[in-house]
Amino acid sequence: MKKARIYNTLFPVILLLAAFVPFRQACPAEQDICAADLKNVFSSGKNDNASSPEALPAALQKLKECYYSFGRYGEFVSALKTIAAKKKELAGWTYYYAGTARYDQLAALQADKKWDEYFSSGDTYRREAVEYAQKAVKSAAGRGALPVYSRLLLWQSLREDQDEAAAAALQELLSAVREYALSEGADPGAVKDAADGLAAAGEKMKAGGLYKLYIERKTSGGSGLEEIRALAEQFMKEGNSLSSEPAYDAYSEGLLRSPAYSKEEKIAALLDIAGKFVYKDSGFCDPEYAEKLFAMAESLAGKDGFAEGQLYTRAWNLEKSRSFEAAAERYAGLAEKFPAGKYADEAVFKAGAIRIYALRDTEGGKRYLQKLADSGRQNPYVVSSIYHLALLLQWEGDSSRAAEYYNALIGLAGKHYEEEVDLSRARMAELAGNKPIEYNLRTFLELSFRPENAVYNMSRLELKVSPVRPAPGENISVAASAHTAESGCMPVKLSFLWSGQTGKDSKLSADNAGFSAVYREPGSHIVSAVALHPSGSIDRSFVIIDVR
Amino acid sequence: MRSNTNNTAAGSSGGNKTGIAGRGASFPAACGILLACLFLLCGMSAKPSAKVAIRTLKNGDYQLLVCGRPYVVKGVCYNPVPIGQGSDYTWWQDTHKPWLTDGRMMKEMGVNTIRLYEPADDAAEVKAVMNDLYKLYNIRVIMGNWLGFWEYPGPFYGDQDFRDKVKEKVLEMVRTYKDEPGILFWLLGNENNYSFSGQINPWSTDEIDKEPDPIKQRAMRARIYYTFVNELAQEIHKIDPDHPVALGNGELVGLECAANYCPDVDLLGCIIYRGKTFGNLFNSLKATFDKPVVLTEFGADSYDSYRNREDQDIQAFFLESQWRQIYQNLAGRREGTGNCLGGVMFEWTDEWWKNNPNSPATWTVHDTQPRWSNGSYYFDIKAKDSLNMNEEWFGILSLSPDDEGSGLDLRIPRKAYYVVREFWKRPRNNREIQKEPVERNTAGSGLKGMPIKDLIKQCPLEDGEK
Repeated sequence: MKKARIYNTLFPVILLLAAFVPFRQACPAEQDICAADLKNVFSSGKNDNASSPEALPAALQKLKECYYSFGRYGEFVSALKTIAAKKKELAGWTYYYAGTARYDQLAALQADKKWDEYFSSGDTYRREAVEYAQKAVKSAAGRGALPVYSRLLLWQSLREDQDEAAAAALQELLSAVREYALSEGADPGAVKDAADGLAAAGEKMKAGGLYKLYIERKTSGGSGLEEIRALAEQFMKEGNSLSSEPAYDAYSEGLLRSPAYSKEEKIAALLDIAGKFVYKDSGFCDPEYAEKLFAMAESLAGKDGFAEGQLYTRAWNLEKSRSFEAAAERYAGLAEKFPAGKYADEAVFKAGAIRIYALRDTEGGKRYLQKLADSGRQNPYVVSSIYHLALLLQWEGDSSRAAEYYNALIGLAGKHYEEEVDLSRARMAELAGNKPIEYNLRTFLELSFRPENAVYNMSRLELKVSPVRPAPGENISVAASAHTAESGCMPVKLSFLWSGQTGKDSKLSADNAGFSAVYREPGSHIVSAVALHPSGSIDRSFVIIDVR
Repeated sequence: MRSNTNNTAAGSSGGNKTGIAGRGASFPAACGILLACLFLLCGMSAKPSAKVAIRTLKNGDYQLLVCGRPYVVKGVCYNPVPIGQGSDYTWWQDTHKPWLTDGRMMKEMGVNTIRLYEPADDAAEVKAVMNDLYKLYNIRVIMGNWLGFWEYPGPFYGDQDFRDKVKEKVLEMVRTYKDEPGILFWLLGNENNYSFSGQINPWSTDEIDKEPDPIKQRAMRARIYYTFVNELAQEIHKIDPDHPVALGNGELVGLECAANYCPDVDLLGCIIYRGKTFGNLFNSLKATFDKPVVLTEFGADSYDSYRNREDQDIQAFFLESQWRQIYQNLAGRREGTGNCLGGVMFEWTDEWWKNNPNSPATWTVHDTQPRWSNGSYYFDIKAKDSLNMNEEWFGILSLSPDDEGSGLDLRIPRKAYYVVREFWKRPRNNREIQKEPVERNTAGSGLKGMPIKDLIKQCPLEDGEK
């Protein structure tokens, strides 16, 4: 009986315990989630140097990653308070991480749209982010990179206020970064992190300065050129021009100084980098930076040191980035140096067309087009040259010569160049009927050539093409981007007058800021446009579409 | 009393002001005059106007004073057009008196000001609304005038006849309403400055037409317009020294010109939609047009054009953030610019006519088609063609057709109503409020030099005030 009673008492207890253990395993107490990392924090740093830039915060960083992975920002802050109480030497870093947690928590609430918590507690988190950042700043001295991180956090927390405190925080951040960067044993990564923070917040100029400082510090320890180039390429992959360009600057300056590379190798390397930055219709590019590298290469190679293809790429880059004067010069130079080359006729055509339509130098431009017209060759550039010469003659009122040129084009074209033939026929019908040039085209010509319209300098209207080098028969899109005055909630109704070589069967509409086109023939086709608002013109512009 | 009002008014910078009692008068005469004045002030005036002034503090901060007490504008744009009606609807005549329901809800929220874009033609109706709102709910009015901006065929500010017509209308408005106790200040124009480019509501003169440079054309229009506004401000001050005059302006466009041509304007009424914050607005204003500012239109719509659904949270999010920055730039805040006097949210209720003003059939439909694009309202900027601003969804209150036979559309507070209400109860910023010593009344006042505590005595106590 006694045994049975013991058994009857114990058995339920055993059953209960047996059930509890799996239950507890299924629902671990919250503090268990990052227990291992928390333990690591307490056990780390016993022999650490408090000023070591890496040892102390590394464990905290790991703890942060753990809590963040569960989205447990609040628990992380609580854990940090516990740590701060028990490990005084970590005080500065715990404040920093607590401030960061609140800052990141606010961002997460917005991103995840957890509005109830945002509205009920957001203000508390905002205030705590600033307070912890301020405490971290106060206790940052002698704690490695903490002065940089704490000031970055403080600025980020104050930034949106756009007030004196925010402005002061930014200046103090920049000073702290520079001071830290020059200190012994400084980790350049902290400089980069500050630069990344500035770049993410739109402070591009200041970020650029810090990236440059980062590169200088990173490479001051005698990094090899290839290491610097690898760094630059890494930044390029990240799509970060603010950091990749200073890195390539450091590389190219080092390259120019280095005796280990021949002149040809240096030129090739610089041109290779330039090629990464030349104009693209999508993705990362910086045509101005590409031109800077071309100029650097030219300083080594001399004016005649580039191959035809390299000269062409440089001129094309200038054209697409709307540096028209420089582009016209480069195309002219290319044609002069390689008169029988692959790009010769295209270069002559573009030198002429750009002079005429971008630089308003009709006489200068006509000379280039006339060279092609007189060549007797049959190719798209010659055909286009004849068309534009005829158009200019028509515009200037010389109808008979204009008609001659249109007829010559039709004769030369044969069964090809349908669009140019159609355009010529349309112009000839105007001449025959004593009618003015078609309205859209005439408006473009008026804004391009009349002296009183000099203000229409293409700065307020841009035409873009995608893909930028289509194949014959490939669909392309042409889009206009007009810069209008601010108008609040009253959008300005714009109209677009499309003209030129817009492709066969393209559907154009004055209401549309773009259109789709297909070009069946290779060549360089000029599309022009005028953007209008209800009471006048905004600007005129043109683009050359290269179909290969 | 008009003469007394003229003698003792606190108002804008152009008024002629004298002290209450002349110095050097004999004692009995002085007492008599003082008693007479007090007698007049304490009750004989049929409708004593709340004396409104802007004071400049020692540190350069600006503060709006009503009856000598600091006043933060916590306002809403008010145009309660019911479902099914259009812009021509004269809600002032609505027998269901929407302003009574709205006023109560405004008071519960903490609203102390409404903005009226322009009064109706019938002054009695307008006064009835104003008096109801003021007497029952202590809500004051920013009274506006479009300055003919929407006149057909256009607002020809360069034409003298047009200007004279507009001026007469504005001055008549001031004469009519200046003695209403609920008037806070006058607001001239709205976003009229967007017409300077010639791209919105275009207007011109022969001289402008001869100028080929669009930038110079813009400057010429700005000069003409701002000169006209300043002329109006001067005339208003002569009639009514009791209330400040504001220049309504879209963003900061043109203010570099206004700084030269509008010295007699007392403050700026800025219409601004920059999303979560106003960016560097307050600092920029301090540098270019150093006058106090009320944000007379700002806010966010409550429709997500990307996900095609109502989203009250994003509206509340933007509004709370905007108010936070407004409060950070009020007078006395340590880190702010101290040039903000408050704000007026756009708007109190949805207006179902706004997407298609000329199509009555659509006024019974709550259109979700966005009308314009603003990347600062980033939650739905990925909407088609980046069009994300839904004009019919800006209300802090949504409307629902009346199904209870009350004759009034149901007013349903959105989340923003509660969030802003709570914010106003405990306006929060991270900085300690700098304690401001009691200042003497300075620029812009008819009682220059008079201590504030005496200025307070000029105003009879109003209902609901301690």
